[in-house]
Amino acid sequence: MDSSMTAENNTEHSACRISCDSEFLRKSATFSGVSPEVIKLFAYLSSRRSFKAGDYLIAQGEKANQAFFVVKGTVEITVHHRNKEIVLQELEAHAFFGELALLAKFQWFFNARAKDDLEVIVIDQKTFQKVIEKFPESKDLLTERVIQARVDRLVQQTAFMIDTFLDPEADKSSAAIV
Amino acid sequence: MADTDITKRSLFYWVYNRYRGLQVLLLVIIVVSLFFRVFPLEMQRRIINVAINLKMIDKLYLYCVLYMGAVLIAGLLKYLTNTMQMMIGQKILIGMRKELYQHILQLPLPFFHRTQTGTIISALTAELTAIATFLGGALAVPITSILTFFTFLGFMIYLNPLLGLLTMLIYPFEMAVIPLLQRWYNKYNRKRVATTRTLASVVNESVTGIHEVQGNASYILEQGKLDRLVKKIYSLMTKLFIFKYGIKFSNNLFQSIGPFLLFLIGGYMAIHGEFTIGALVAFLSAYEKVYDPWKEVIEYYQSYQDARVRYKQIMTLFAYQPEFLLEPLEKREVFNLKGEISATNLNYWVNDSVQLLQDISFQIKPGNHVALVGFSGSGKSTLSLLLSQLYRISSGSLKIDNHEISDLTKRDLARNVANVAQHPFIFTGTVRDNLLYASNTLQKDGLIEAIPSPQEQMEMIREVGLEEDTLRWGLRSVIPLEKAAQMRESFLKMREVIHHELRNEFTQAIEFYDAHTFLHHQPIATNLIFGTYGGAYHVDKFITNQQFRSFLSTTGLEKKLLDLGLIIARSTIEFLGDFRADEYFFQGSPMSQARFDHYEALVKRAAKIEFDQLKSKELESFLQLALDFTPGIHKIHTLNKQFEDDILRGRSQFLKQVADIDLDECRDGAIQTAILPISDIEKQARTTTSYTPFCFNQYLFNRTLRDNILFGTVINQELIREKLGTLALEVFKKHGLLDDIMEIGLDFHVGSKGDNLSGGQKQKLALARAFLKHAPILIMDEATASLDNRSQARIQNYIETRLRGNTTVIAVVHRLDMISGYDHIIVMKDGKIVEAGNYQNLIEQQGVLYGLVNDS
Ligand SMILES: Nc1ncnc2c1ncn2[C@@H]1O[C@H](COP(=O)(O)OP(=O)(O)O)[C@@H](O)[C@H]1O
Ligand SMILES: [Mg+2]
Repeated sequence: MDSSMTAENNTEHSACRISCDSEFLRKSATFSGVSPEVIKLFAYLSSRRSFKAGDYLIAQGEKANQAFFVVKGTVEITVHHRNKEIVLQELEAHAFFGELALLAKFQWFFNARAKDDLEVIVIDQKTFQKVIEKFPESKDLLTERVIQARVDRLVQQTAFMIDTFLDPEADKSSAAIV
Repeated sequence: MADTDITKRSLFYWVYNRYRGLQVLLLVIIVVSLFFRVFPLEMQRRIINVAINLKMIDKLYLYCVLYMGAVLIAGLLKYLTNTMQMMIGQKILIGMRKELYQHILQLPLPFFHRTQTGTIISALTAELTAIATFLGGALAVPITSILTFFTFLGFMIYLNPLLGLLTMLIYPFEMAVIPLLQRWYNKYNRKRVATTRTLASVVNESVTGIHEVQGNASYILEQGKLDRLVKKIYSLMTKLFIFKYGIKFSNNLFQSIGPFLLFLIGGYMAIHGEFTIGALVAFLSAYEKVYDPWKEVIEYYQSYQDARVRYKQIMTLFAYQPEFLLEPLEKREVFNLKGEISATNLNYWVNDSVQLLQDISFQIKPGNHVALVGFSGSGKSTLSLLLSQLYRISSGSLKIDNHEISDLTKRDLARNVANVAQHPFIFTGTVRDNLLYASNTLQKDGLIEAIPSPQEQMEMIREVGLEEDTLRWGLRSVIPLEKAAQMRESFLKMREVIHHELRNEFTQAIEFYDAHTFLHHQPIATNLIFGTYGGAYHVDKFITNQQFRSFLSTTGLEKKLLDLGLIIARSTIEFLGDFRADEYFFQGSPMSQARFDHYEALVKRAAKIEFDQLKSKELESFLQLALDFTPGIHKIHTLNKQFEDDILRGRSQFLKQVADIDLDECRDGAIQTAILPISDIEKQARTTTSYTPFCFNQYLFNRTLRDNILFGTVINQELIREKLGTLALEVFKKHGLLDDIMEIGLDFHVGSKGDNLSGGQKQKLALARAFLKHAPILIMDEATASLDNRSQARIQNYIETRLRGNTTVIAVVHRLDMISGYDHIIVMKDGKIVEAGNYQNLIEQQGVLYGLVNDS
């Protein structure tokens, strides 16, 4: 029953592999203007992963070494604080998160949790380093993009928190204690 | 058997007291064989003097036959006696080694602190073996040699008394010279034995400390230590051989004087007709024969000296007495002690000069829990070792239930005291072997009726917090055939639980082996045969399998696969051409980096000529790529739906035609029993060609338990680790299946000295081993030091609840926040007790303990 569904899912995205994934990455803000060769290499070295609602992609405190592009579904970014899990942000298709893991070694300071059926493209740190090594001319642009993504995220999350702070009633559902 | 102290026995003690019957038999056989050695000489004389001289052909035949017969029998008897000698030697050696090993195991600890392990090993192995060769013939050889010697001598005197006595003149000279040379030989031999031992110790030490050696790359340093010894041994050996062959040379020299006298005097007598030619020939033969036993005596003498030197050195090494008796002198039952412990004015010195403990007195009621605390080096470990009879007090008194500890036997202690050392030792073997180490001994000695049941074992594993580790060990193991066959049902039930109850949760993490589904995370080859073939996957097994190959060609799949292989080769070469130097980029292709150049040349060739004009080896290269291609991992190519369907059709055909299995039955689990009977599987598993299909009711004997339960490919490791692993275990527990995994985990091999375990796991295992003994007294020396906080608390909790009131606990405790749960606290400093009492009082006193607690 279920398995046949998964099988179809698999064939659906396996129909175009590198080209589909490059197409997807090319459309993301992070890769706009990056040479198609580089994007293609990323597409080749990345992998797709699916999750179900409630599954954790990132767990606070674990070693960070992967970044994610949302292909389908919604991700919740949360933090553990005083024994509660608080939702900071929701990310939809084409969002890019975990980006800092490509540049630095640290432990995750937040969680990422699937809100519904989720599909992501995963790029790991080593891949990023290897590609940059082969295409040094792309290094500055890519690094800048990663930092830009981080800044955008910070701005959005701050806004989200201030909203919740100013109007606690409005968003009770998403900032709910889990 | 407990006659005299083993180390005081002489070398000949073993000869006189062991296998006397066999040795007498040996002697008899040798005496008999003597006759057959002299007899041919008499025949020689008669052949010449009688048969030839008197020209009697029939006598000639007779004597010749008798001569040959006697020589043959003598040879056979020699063969028999040699074998018997060896056998007797080895038999004596067995006993010697056994008794000596028992003796060594019981020696006091200080002996082991002084003595290098390598020395003990070399003494017990090579050195003893060398002695055995001597022991076998220790009695028979000298007796027979001397007998033979005099027999031939007698024969010679019988032929001609004057000549006979003359030729004997040389032997007294030899008897003076040879022992002189031998004494020098012995001196160097002693040095050699000692140096060889040092060599063994050096090797043993660097092997034991291999972490340190490799960590510091101190190879040259360690090599240097060895080189010095090797050089020394070389120079000693050279000297040894100079003397050894010196003895041989002098012997030969003296021997050649004999014939000289014989020819001179015997020839003279023969010319003057006082001696027959026949007698002269027989005399010459006898002279040569007399040399044999003489040579044997010399050799015997040499090997006796050699063995004596070695033996003495071995026995001196171990010439210590066990400090405690194993069993009481007067027969009595092993005590069942209550666990009351008292010390009065106890002192302990080492080497009669350094005092480690001074004037220790305390009183512990049965069932009380006592913490020993104090500065490091204050004597806590020493005290705990005295309590377990590992050391012996120098003066004062140390009692358990009013028995002086020194009066108790080792068995009493073994029954009543459990012990956990600071760095516990884990033996090579399984987790279970270690867990039951103490219980097994008690059971062998008849001190407990039965070893703890599997239920109790698992209970204890849980108590010390090893449950998860044990489950992991269980899941990781490839279970031996018999065991797997026995427990198959239970493992298949787990598979069913995953596939039926937890299917939804697992679909994201596992690609199940579904007979009707193309497996994206398995190579095409596995997709086709839908099973495992000869253990780990390797494409060569498929390429070289004729049955598989003919299946591919008759179904037309081969052509499709060759095309696929070519496409993959082309796109890999095109895509990775610029990155060919870096292996990392090959992760998305079935082509290995090492084969890139090979395929590049092949693709070029394939572009020039027709595909089917390629050599079959070349075609195989393409086939290999296609069979290895795993769509879920190798992004270099995308399979279309139609190709997947072709593979699925191929799978169905393969199962039907080659394996004779119906795909639907396979999938639904209608195939109820193992497709092969267990005996066949066993046979096949030993060859490399066992095939096991992925049928739902089929246990995969050459895969891990985890693979068998999940019955699919893990595609999201994190999900399993983070969430699904725990979930599955919970459900298994609900079904009562968990113990079966534990059971397998208990058979996990801990590696040499437990090297496959972490420090914490070793410590927990040692704790479980001690707890499982259920002894009335438990002694722990910083037994939880290498555990994390949670595990420490868990153990502490076990002690405080399960052992309260029924076990006297003496624990050296390093974490002062743990001691409030103890009834009594003894604070030590510089080998003395500086404070004792209950926690509350000591804290209120604001004395030493107060200071310690507030410092930390
Ligand atoms: N065989 C020995 N010979 C000489 N000194 C020893 C010997 N064994 C232990 N010691 C010394 O005895 C003291 C007490 O050791 P120990 O009982 O291990 O202390 P603790 O367990 O309290 O840290 C230490 O100073 C140690 O160096
Ligand atoms: Mg100590």
